[in-house]
Amino acid sequence: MAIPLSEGAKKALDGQSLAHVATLMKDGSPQVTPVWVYRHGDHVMISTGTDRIKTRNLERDPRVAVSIAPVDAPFPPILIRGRVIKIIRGEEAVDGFVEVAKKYGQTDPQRPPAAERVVYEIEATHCFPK
Amino acid sequence: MTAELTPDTQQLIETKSLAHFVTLMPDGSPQVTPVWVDHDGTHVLINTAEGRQKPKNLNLDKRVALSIADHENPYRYVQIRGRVVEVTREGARDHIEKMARKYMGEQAQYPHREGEVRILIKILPEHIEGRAARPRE
Repeated sequence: MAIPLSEGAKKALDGQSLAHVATLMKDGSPQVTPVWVYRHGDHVMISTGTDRIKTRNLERDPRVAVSIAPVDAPFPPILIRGRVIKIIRGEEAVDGFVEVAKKYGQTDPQRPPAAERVVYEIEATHCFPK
Repeated sequence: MTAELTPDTQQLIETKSLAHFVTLMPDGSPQVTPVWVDHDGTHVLINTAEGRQKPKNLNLDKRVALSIADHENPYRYVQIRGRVVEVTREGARDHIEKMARKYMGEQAQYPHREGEVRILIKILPEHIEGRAARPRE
């Protein structure tokens, strides 16, 4: 069941700390990488390249987990589990890249080719701290 | 299949950077938490306590993953996939003190909770990838 994000989770997702996003490989084993994230309302947004392992993983299995330990205040960490509810492609995915690149400090990010970008919109099923 | 912990990877593990450690929930979905991390030259070492979700998950499935981003240069990172080859109480209490000194400072002592039993998780890496400078957007 989808739940709203806590205020602490929203604050961390709106900051510049990297998120570590866990996905599932084809054989069900886990994989995790640091990524840029941003937020739309109660949803976690992940902007990534279409050629990544996590891209293939998320297209196959929508289950995902996110961990953020802000460098300035790592405890308590932000822990989210959830699932991909929407896959955004094309120019809207490029807009997502520009939004997240600005959030992480790039002043004038170039628009990459739309074929190279994808955004995953994630709803939370678990969120810590609540 | 085993992947070697290269000097670069070992050096990154030896920094004060946290690892984000993934285990699999009973339904197969991923769970990830930041943890203190160490290595012994071959294995990645993680210290936890009995009764927590991670050891419960590891009883069911030994497959794990972790990623470490350098806390001073977050675009230097390594991601490791592997499996747990040993879970032991032996040496775990001394090891958490070593971790407290690493992450909290030379004089630090781990704030033990009453009745807490520490356990040491040894992970054999099977795939290691990393990137030194490029952001993972």
